[in-house]
Amino acid sequence: MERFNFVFVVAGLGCFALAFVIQAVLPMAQYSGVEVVTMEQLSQDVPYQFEQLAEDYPTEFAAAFPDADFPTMPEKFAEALKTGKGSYVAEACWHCHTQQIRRRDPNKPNEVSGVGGDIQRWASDTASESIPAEYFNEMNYPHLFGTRRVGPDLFRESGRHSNDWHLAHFWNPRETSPYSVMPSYRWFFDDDQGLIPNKRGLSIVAYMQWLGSWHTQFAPTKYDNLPDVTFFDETDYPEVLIEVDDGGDEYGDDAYGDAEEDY
Amino acid sequence: MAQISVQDWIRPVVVTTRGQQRLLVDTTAAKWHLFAGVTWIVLGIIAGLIYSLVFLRLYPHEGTEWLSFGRIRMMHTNLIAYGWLVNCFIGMMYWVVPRLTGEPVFNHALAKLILVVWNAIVAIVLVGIAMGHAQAIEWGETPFFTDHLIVLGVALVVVQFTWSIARSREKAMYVTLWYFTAGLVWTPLVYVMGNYLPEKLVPGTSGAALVGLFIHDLVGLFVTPMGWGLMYFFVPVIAKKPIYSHAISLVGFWGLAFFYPLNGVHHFLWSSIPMFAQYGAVISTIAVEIVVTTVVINFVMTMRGEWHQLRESLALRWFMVGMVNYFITCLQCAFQTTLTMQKLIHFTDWVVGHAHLVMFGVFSFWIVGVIEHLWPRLTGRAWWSRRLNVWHFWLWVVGVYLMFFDLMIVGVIQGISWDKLDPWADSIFYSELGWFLRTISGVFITLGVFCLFINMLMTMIKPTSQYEDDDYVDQLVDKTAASGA
Ligand code: HEC
Repeated sequence: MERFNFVFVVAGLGCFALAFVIQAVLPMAQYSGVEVVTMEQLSQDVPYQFEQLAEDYPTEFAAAFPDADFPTMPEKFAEALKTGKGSYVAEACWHCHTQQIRRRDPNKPNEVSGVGGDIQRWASDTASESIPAEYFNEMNYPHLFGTRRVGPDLFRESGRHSNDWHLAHFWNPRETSPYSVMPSYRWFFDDDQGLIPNKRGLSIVAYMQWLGSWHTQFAPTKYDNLPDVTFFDETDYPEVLIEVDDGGDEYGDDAYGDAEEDY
Repeated sequence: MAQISVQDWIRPVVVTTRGQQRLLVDTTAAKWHLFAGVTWIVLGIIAGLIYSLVFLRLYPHEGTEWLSFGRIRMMHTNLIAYGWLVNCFIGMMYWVVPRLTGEPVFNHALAKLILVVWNAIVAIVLVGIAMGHAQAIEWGETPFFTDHLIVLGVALVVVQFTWSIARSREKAMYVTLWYFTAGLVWTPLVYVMGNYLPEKLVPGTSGAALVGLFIHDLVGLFVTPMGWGLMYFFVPVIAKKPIYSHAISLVGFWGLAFFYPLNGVHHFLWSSIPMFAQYGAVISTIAVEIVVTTVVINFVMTMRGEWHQLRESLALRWFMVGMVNYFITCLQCAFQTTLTMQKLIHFTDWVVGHAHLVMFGVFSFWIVGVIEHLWPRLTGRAWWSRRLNVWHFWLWVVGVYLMFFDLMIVGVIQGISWDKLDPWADSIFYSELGWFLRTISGVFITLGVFCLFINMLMTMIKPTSQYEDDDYVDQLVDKTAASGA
């Protein structure tokens, strides 16, 4: 047990492999049938806030996303999401904000507030805690769960604030929230008063307004006759993953695809 | 109880084979790795101090993009991980490994290459993060294009040292080498797993499970084995005592190897990762903490009857304070990993305090202890100022406890405030005093690291007394050489 080959093979390779199987391969296997939603698919459903940005900041928008119009809007939106997520990662927003609403305690299925108050604080009317399906898309390479909350969770941020609130907030968070410790992001703007957002500014707002938008019904807009692409197709999931609406327990354990009742 | 003595293994720095004197230990490489490491930690700690200002609503460089606070935070963690820890561990392995195996490392020219390549990588990582190319993987924020370089660098290091270990003609390996061998296998595996799969292949929840593994394995499968390996070498050498129990060493090592890799998902408890993985992680975390406590006991028992040595030996003092911190960390971890505690303290500053106690209060303390011991031997000069070293010690001890207890309390307050569904602003108001004290603790730590840096620099450049170490000198040079073989 104290020789090089033994330590190398058993401790080094063996123990690592065992853990990799239990802690990574098994969870992965659980979702092996899940199709990863592509950028193209998820950008079809353009939140109205993006169009609003185009209307409210026409010159800036045109400079950032030239030739944005009806047929190209999803394309531009995809671009904005990528740029926005790029800034989110580059500025490490995820070190201060999480993107996960913790699941309900399986032993307390009827608790309203959820673990640490997460559900009561952040769940929207249409969606409760975050479920695996929401993460299986191209915007989650890698996932942005986060491990620290200095600011609130952002996974259902869409529609919580207006575009202009976000822009003012990024220019100087203490303008909108005097108590805030969030740093300002001056380089999201082209002027020195925070009135002219640049591509990064528009994109990060678009990204904020996208988070959780997949649960929101948008009012019809001029783009409403786009092909209807469902964000995640339930038939793609192994059967256990399908959320069964059995009346009461709306966010039942089955959403995770494992039999938690066993525990 | 079977005791095991490192003294039976240790070879001199210079050995004589077939009448020829040969340098077994590459002291130059060791020296410069340590110096590079200390340079990076000075920058890393300054970055941490600056980042703490954001919580006091002080923004000294508002509008400077490359000094954006989020980027500074990533510089802080990555400089500590890849600049400080890695450099120091490599440097110390140069000293330890060949002396235990009797075989030099793979190649002395490769040593120079590794030194340059690794530190160039750290510099590139720093610039990459400043320019906004970070990767969203905790502890692996190194820009994706640098990941390839890092894998290459790690591969060189692995070749360099496993060569020496694998070629050893000893019948059995000393404990230190078990840890190093395993660490050298695990580190590249962990790095590749954590940085490539979630970025390109495994999205969402499955990716999160992988990232959890990565965050934890980098601590558990790279830093911890290296740290323990060093302790098993230096504590008995300095205290001049054999390790208390060979059996406990075995339990500690195999416990770590078996349970530690299973811990990863405990960074994402209550998340949408399948519950079986979460339960598994919690149980094995509790198991690992128990196992690791046995190792602490092994060292405490080794020191039994020798505690008076702490008065003279600063190195032992660093080691033992680190040991105490390790015990606190383990105890804390066994509780905080439970799903019940997680409800309260997950996402709060409690975890930040915990992380600092481990990386700073344990492993950095141990490293500094080793530097304390090695630097005179590597430079051939006595420390420029012993008093400065004592200052460093007390500044860091005060700093680490102030930070740890402060953040622990703040964390609980934040957790309660969230759970009560207070407005978000309240959790920030409640934290203000704690955040202020945290910055104060950062000032202590920064001053401490300045002491270390200045002292090392002055020892190196200022001609003072030669270093004389009577009872160690026979280990440095082969006696057969002196007797003119
Ligand atoms: C130092 C930590 C910190 C960093 C870094 C940070 N934030 Fe914040 N953020 C906060 C805090 C605290 C709040 C709550 C107070 C407020 O509204 O500003 C907040 C609030 C927010 C809100 C409003 C949430 C709501 O629902 O009211 C958004 C959106 C936001 N941040 C986005 C971002 C983005 C995007 C980034 C990166 C570019 C970022 N934050 C970086 C701390 C941070």
